[in-house]
Formats: sequence, C-alpha cells, structure tokens
Amino acid sequence: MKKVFVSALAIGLFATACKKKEEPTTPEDTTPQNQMPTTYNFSPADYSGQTDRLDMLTELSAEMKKANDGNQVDSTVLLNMFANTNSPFSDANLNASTKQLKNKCYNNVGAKDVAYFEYLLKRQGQISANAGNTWSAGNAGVATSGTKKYFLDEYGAEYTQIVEKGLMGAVFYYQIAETYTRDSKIGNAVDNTTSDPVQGTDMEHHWDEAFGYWGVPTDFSSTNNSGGRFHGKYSTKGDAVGLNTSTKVMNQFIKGRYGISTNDYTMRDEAAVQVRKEYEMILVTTAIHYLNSAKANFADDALRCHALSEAYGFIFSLAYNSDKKISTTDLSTTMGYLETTAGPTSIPDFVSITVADINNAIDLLSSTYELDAVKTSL
Amino acid sequence: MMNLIHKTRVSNFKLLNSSLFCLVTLNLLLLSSCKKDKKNDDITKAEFNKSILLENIANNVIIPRYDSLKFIVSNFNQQIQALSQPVSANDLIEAQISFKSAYQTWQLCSSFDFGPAESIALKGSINTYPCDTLVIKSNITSGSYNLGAASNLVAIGFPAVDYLLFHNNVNLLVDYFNDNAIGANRLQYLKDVVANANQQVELVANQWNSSYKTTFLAANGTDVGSSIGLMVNALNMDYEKYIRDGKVGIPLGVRSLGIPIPGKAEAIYSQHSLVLLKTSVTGLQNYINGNGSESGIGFDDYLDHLEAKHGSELLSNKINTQFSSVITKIDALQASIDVEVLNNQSKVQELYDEMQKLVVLLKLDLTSALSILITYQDNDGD
Repeated sequence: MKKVFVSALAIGLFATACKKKEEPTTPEDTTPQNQMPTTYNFSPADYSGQTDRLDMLTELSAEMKKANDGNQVDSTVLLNMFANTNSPFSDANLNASTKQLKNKCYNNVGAKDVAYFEYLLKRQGQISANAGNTWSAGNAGVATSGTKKYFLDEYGAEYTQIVEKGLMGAVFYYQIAETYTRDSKIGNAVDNTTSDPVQGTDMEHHWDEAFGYWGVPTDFSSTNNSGGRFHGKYSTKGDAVGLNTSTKVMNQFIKGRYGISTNDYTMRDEAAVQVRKEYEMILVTTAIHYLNSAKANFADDALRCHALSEAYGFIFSLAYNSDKKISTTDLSTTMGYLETTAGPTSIPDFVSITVADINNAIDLLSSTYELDAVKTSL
Repeated sequence: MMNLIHKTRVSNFKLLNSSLFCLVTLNLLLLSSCKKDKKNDDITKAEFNKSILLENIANNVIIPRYDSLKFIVSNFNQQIQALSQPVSANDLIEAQISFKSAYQTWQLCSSFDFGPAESIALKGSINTYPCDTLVIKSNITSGSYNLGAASNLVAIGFPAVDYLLFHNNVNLLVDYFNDNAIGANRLQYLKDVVANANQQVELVANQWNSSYKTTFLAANGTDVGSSIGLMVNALNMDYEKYIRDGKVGIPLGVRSLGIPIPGKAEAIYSQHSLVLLKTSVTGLQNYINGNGSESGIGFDDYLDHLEAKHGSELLSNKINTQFSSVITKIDALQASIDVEVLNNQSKVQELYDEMQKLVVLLKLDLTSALSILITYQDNDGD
C-alpha cells in the first residue's frame, strides 16, 4: 500500500512540475451528469448568506487588530459588527445584509456563548487604552517579535484570535454541526421537491449553507488547497502531514449534496455523520499545530501568546458539536491546561503556563483523535 | 460464501497489481518527460542511502554530543549542590570554570531542536537571553517560584547562572551569597536553576540513547516529519534565528536601525560570547559534514551524490568555504560580542554579512537540492 501512495505522490509532484506542458482540462467538463461530481459543482446552489458572515468576521477581526498597531479600538463598533447594527462595516453590502453573526452564535450552557464573546469585545475596547504600551506579564500591551505585533491582555491572551477562532467555532462550525447537517434542516420532513431557481430545494439549500461556512472554493482538495478562508484555510494543517483533511471534508460535502439531489437519503445521512467527523479533524489538527508552535516559540512572549490564543480558540470550538469525539470532561481538562482560576471562573493564562501543560494538552488531544503518529509534525 | 470472498480478493489483488503497474509506468514516463535536459543516466543512478547518513549522525554526532553535555552538566550540578554557606571565592571560581565549559558544550547541541529536545522546549529553557535580572531578584526575594512557567524563562538556564555566578568583583559576589538576609535564598535559587537544567538535559540525552534513536533511524525519508527534514529545519532555524540573529545581528543592531544593543549579547556577565559563537559555528559545520570522532557520511556527501551545485562549484564545497569565511571573521574579533559591537562595529558587521551568505546556501540551496520543505516559518500571515 505504501508503494502505491509513494508512486501516486511522485506522480502528483511530477504532474505539477510538468503542468505547463499539459493541455488544460477541467474535471467538470468530463463528468457525466449522472455521476457524483468531483467538485462541489451543483446548480442551482446559493450560500451567499454564509459568505456575508465570513466577510463580517473578516472585518470584525481587522477592527480588533488595530490594537496591534497601538490604537485603542472602540468596543461599540466591535459589538455593532457582531450584531450588524448601525452600519458598522466598510463594505456597504454587509451593512445592507439581513445576516449577522450574533443571532447564529451558540447561546446556551456548556460552551462559550454570546455573552462570552461580547465580554471579550467590550474588554478589548477597554484595555486597548494600553495599546501604546509594551506588553509585560501582568500588564496589557503590544508584544513584538520581529515584524509581528500582537495586543495581549495581562495574561498574554490575544482577544483578536480568541474571538476570531472562537466565532469560527461558535457560529460556523456550530451551524454546520448542529443545524445544517441535522434533521431539522435536512431530514425527510424538509421539502426536497420544490426547486427555487436560485437556491434549489430547501433541503439542498440547507446543505449548501453548511458547505458555505467552510470557506473554500468549490474545487478545493488536499492537492488543491489554496484559497480557503477561516476553517478552509486551516484544513491544510492536516493535509501537510498526509491526513488528506481537505479532500475528506470535501468528499463528504459532495456526497451529501449529491445524495439529496438524487433522493438517496441513505447517502445523505452517511455524509451528514461523516462531514461532522471529518470537519472536527480540521479543528483538532490546527489546535495541535498551534500548541506545537507555542512550544517551538516558548521563549518568545509574542509568538507563544499568539499561538496559544489561536490554539485556545480552536480547542474550545470542539464543544460545538454534540457528536464530538472528545469527552466533555477531557475537553475541559485540555482547556484547563491553558487556563488559570480567576475568582469564580477560568481564564486563559499564557504567562504561568509550562511546557508540561502544553504537552499534556497535545497528548490528550492526539490520543483522543488518534493523531499520535503525526502530533509532532503538525 | 467463502468462495465468493476469495474471488473478490483475487480480483482486487489483480486490480491493485495492474494499477500499480500503470502507476509505475506513468511515473517513468513523467520522469523521462520532465528531465529532458538532463542526462539519461540520472534515472538509473542508485538512490542515496539516507539510513547510513542517519546512523552516522545519530551515533557519531548527536548522541556523543548529548552524552558529553549530560556528563558536564551533571558534574556542574553536583558541584553546585555541594555548596553551602559560607561560600568562598574559590568555590565560585571553580563553579565559573565548570559553568563556562557546560555553556560551551551546550552550543554543540543547540541545533538538535527536534524530537526529545523540541518536546520539552529544551532550547528555550536552557538558553533564553538576555536574562531578566528583575525577575531573578524577585524570585530570590520571594523564595517561591515555578521554574517551568513561561514567565520564568528569562530567569532560568545558562543566562541566569551567568548572571548569578559572575561579577567584576568576585569578593562582592561572595558577599551576595553569604548575605544574612538574602544569601541563603540566592544560593538556593542557583541550586534550583542548575538542577532544573540538569534534569532537562538528562531527559533529552536519555531519550536519544533509548526509544528516540529507533524513531530517528526509522524516519528515513525526506518528507515532512522525516528525520532529514527535521534536522535540516532545526539546523536552519538555529543558524538563522539563534546564531546569526541572536548571537550577532541583534546585539549589532540589525533590528534597531543600526544602533547596537550590547545588553542583548550572549553571556554578558562571563564575557565569553566569542568562544560560544565560534563553538556553535564550527559545531554546526562539523555536524553538516557528518564528522563525529571520524570523518563520516553527512549532508555534504548527500549533496555530492545529487551533484548539487552553486554556480559551477559543488554546493558542499561552497558551504564549507563559506563556513571558513565566517570563522575567519570571528577570529578577527578579540573581545566578547557585547564589547565588539561598540568598539569594532564594522568588523562585527563584516562577520554578519558573511553569516548572511551562509543563510542563503543552507536555507535555499541545500533545502532545494534535498527537496526539503522549510516548515518552521508560520506562513499564516496573521
């Protein structure tokens, strides 16, 4: 089996090297209508609402990052961007959109909720009054490493990353895992006969909405994995160590949509389970990647705190799927390695964290998700 | 039923076989079509035996260096743990000698930041400099600290010991350790920091002598995660970030508009940064050439096998010539780096320029010749 893999890989390499000489072909042209497509090439299909929310998070994140350059940010603007109120975006189309991040954000017990994100947005506004200061343990400010600058709180937490990666979990992943791949949206009770010229049937549209949250081009795969946004961009972490994460997620999205369009509900239901399972791997591989990065840069406050903030967002995102592979207890333990107790609650603490803490987090994740073989390469 | 399964298996096997054949054929076709401008005999040339390289480097470079570090640091630790008040000037002078030798031996291991060392982030905990004397003093005063905490990285390792053990006036240092109020805490802190370093070095050396050696030898490809990939990434990162920038560039002022920052040099209290720098550079060259106790198979042989060139010259020669140029520039300096960046800035700049040329050879030429992906720079851009 290994030989096959190596040869295939070699072909992949040489094929790239020789690409210029090949005649251009597009796989869609050659795919017969009655076969499952190799790309997410369905028509009609519409997930513009998801694209709007992706764009909103891009602007929210950019606004928060202004603190990295030493500027105080206005928490009112951040909160407005979260709820899409008072036309906060520079893109007029987003201000006009009926979509928002807040009303799709997880808002219940057991995981980071709307109030948590609003708290971070408010606090970013308050403490970024210190954005002109150099960060030191115990004092919020900007930490620098080479050309990279990150605004951190007094414990080294970078709210920009926690909010961005956190909302990718609490909105995008949560909507995929708990809404659009579930019975309420794609079950047999949902209309799959009346086809809208833009959106297709309701069932088709709901599945497309799940796909839209991933943030990738329709021909995305492990061998063609550039151009992704948000979780799409991070699907490449697994690809880099041979897990084929992007292809696996894409194949399940294609399979589910094809199943819906051909009324093969067994296929649809298999894909719904699998898409959640494969998507979860994006989060966990990226979390381990950033934990490794924190370890590799342990002595560099800016890089360590930045990487741990990213990792923290990806880790707590695992909670937004009721079929998650990791137990709730183990997830809480993993988060605990990155946290400290402050009064009644636990908050991320990247100052008193040790390498042993990071290794414990990596080991618990890698053993749970059967990633021991690649955990050091991620 | 059995029969049916059997049949299916046979046909699957046939399918596998024929597809394998197709892949191999296709592969050869692609190979030949891609290498039009190269000689045909390239295809038939035997592949470089990477296992021999890995075995030589493990047995004759990495493991002996870690063993030696473990031995020297362990002796130093015993010496320090045996100290008691009142500490004498002689105690401290003996400790200083052992310290310098331990710090120098560490330079030979800093390029091995993968596997066991990476797993416990050895490099950060043993040689993050400059140390923060305020944090060290605060730890000594409180007498309560977790030396593993990220916030204490600036207060542990060789740089902290460098601060604790060295002073222009050794008698003043003796007084510090014998001070009624804080001397006992200070001595205890020294013991804790050295014990911590000793424990970490021992852990890494022991892993290399047991399970990790097997893992290292088994990963004999060039893909991400292969031992060659790990070594090349780690040595490049060490050379670029820690040797070129840390030891020379940052004190010289390459990150600060040309204004030197002598306080960011290595070993500023013991003032032996030049020895440390030269040891690390010659150690790296020796490692790349695969020379341990004897001349052995190293990256130079691998490059020669691939006929890797820089211009018209063999890349391996070019790399060694450039190492010589760097060493010549180091030898042109006399005092420690923190002094030279102030008194002899142009000579340090010349050294830095030669060091920069080596980055190109190691990070671009060598990695592309060996088809190794540099993965240590996070390209996320945020």
